Amino acid sequence: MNVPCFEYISVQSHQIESLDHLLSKLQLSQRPVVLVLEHLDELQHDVIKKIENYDKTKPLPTLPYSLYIVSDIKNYQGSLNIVSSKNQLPALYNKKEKSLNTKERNYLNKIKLKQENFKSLVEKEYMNSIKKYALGHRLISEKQNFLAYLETINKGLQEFYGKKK
Amino acid sequence: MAKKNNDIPDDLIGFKEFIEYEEKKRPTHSRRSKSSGLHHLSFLESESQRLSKTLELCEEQTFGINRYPQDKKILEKQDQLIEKNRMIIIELLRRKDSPLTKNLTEIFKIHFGN
Repeated sequence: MNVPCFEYISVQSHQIESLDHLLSKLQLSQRPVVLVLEHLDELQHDVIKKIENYDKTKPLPTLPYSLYIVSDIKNYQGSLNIVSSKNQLPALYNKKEKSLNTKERNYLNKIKLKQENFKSLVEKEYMNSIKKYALGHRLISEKQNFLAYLETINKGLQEFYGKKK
Repeated sequence: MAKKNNDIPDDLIGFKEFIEYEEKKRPTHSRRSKSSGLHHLSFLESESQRLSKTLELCEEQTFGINRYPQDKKILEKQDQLIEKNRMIIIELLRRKDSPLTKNLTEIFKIHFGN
């Protein structure tokens, strides 16, 4: 059983098969994971794009832990958590693994239990509810835009007849 | 008669170790490891609390969304407003002096004559 501190993974290949395999094996329900891409130089953009595509098809969990990427690309505007160096990662999870005493082990058992609860809640209910909620609000937004369009036409016509009188 | 040892006078027998005792410096790493252990413990404690709170929040949100959905009522209200606006626009455009009628009349005149 691992302490929920960062697990650093150095990405060795930019091939889509190996990346898919790597991403499918991530255990984000147990600890935050950091993918280190700095050493890939020009291939970093390609790898990030592939990770984004993977995230679109099979969304990577963000609860209870997230995936972080250490890369020196600049001006990234996307859905992934990208930092330029390891120092910018959340300090909370920057811990060294060590053998635990009884009290620490008890806490870790509690954490493990909560992680299991989280996994079942997030996978079964929470994500479905959030998706349903998001879908409803997207529909509201679309209808509101259409309503605003109709109101603009209506206002224009009212002004037209108002001037005429 | 046994010869007495000159180095250790009789009076000091049993106290020699006490006199020669030098306070040994405690290894510093033990204190450090203890504090780092506490650091680990507090981290695990706070992580456990964080997970409890996040779990609670997710459960509350799930319950709230499923039990009290707001989107259906808002969508119904929007549909009514859209329908109302549509009817007003149609009424205004059906008038003989409306811009739509005027434009259509012009187009028909150009293509089909009077």
